[in-house]
Amino acid sequence: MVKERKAITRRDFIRGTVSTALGLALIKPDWVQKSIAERQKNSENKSLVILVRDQNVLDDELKVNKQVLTAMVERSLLELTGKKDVKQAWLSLFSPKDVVGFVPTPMMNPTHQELVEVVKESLVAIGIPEANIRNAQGKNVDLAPITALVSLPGLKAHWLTGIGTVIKNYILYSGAPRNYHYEDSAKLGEIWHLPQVAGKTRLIIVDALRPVCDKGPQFDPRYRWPYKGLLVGTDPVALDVIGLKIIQAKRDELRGEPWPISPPPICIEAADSVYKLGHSKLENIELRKIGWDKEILV
Amino acid sequence: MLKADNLHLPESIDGWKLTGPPQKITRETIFDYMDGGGELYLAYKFNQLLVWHYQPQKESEEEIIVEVYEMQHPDETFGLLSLDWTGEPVRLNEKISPSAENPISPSYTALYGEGLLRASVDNLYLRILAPRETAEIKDIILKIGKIIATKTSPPATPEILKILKPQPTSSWQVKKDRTSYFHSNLILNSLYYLSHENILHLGPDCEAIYTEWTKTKAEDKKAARMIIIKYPELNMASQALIDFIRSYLLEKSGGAEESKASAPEGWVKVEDGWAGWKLAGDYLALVFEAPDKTSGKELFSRLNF
Repeated sequence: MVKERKAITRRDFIRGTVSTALGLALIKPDWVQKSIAERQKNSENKSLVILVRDQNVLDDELKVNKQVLTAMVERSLLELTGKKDVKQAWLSLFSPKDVVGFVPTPMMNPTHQELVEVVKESLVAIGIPEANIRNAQGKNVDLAPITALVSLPGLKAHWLTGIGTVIKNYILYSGAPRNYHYEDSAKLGEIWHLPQVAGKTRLIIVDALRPVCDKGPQFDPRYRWPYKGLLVGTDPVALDVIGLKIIQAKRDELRGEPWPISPPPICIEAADSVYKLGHSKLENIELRKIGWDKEILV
Repeated sequence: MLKADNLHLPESIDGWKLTGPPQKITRETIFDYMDGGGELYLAYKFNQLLVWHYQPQKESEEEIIVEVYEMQHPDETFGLLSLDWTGEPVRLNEKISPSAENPISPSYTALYGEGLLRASVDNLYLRILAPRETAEIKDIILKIGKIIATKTSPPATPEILKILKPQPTSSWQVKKDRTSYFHSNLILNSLYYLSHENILHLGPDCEAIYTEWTKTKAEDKKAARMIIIKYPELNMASQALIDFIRSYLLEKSGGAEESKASAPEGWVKVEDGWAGWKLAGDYLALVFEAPDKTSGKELFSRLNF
């Protein structure tokens, strides 16, 4: 719900006054305010984002090498958690008693099925029964029994919201996704505070094996390229920020001149300044890059 | 107008066969088919979409997807194609002469790139694509496009494009491959973001074009932008201007938006250059990122009003 009709414009983005404008424009319902208060993180710590790439994860026919992908996931978990052992790394995030919901991108540049399988196999290996690992993407998913969410979105530009990756990944939980498009895409962060969602996201792995830098979500082969990466972390805002940088750099490279994402993803700024979901400023994000660095773009 | 229902694609073509009858998608079901992507076609005057699938006769994971978007008018398919002029121009109907060179936009009606053919065939917008491109697949995609384009009429462009007059001696020239035709605020924002709100009161009854301009001899190729909108009624254009000034130039208007908007032309320096407006009847033209007022006025001099 918008308190005032003060329109956020291009000029707010140039002047750096978007946060102020959003703060004035967006009303936070009581349940959002309560959730923010309960989950206020220590915002002084930087958010860690791991970028892992391997040139062999896709073959010449763009098929996934699952062994290589597994190694990428494991390396990123070790880096993210600081553990020396893969099993301990997973156990630092999940318990064998968890009921885990996966939230992949289901269609139109979907999350690679191999990535979903690798994460599932990793959770089974730490003692979570297979029956307690389920797909949780969709409008009618019963989130009540789910204790832990793993967000597995595909990295893609989105013609309506600028980027359609991490923050947008839970849009179907709102029950009314169309209420979060256009100017209301600024409110996407509030979905993360829904009682059945809040606090459950333990891990986010962004599928950047073949990201989309324009025309998303509709498939357009001209703008999908084999980046062969994963972005891993727990801060949804920071992950979208780095994903956005990658997409933006690829766009500029394709055109040979600046080609800004349009519209700018207002949801990222709002997710930080209004909904306190994470860090949107680069100085508050620590990006660790592992592996193949050719054409890394960040 | 052509009807997508009347199309009969060949059951097989060069070793590829249709998997079945087409899937029909309506305005009501387009979100089930493509979620947020559906808004793009609704932002133009979409009737229905028919989708066919071809697979190789020999077992394979390959496929070719044929999407035929039936729109209400050829202007809509021009608009969809104009959102991205990149690709290899293709002639799908050799019997139709290519359209005359257009001073402000390319004259292509079909573009191919990396396994995707996009084409404007009268009021049908085609997307024929293969997730994986090979030379053989490209050949078949183009053949399917030519079959569909058999009955096409000579192409035309939206009338509003004539609002700009060519001026070869001008130091400012339009970047033809950036000209786009549209109705909706959503489309404008995907081309050039002004605001998440519809501050220009765009809608299905409006026609608009977005253009980019560069100075021919300057080292700095930073583009200026001009948006031209035709409203269905006179007062809508003037009201849109008032609301634009109120939303975009609030602190520059000193609370006197209506007074400022009553001047048929105005200029304001903002953060990224000069912004200007020109109001004439039911037309509103806006310039953004002009390096100076003189340049902006030169752009307005290209208008046929």
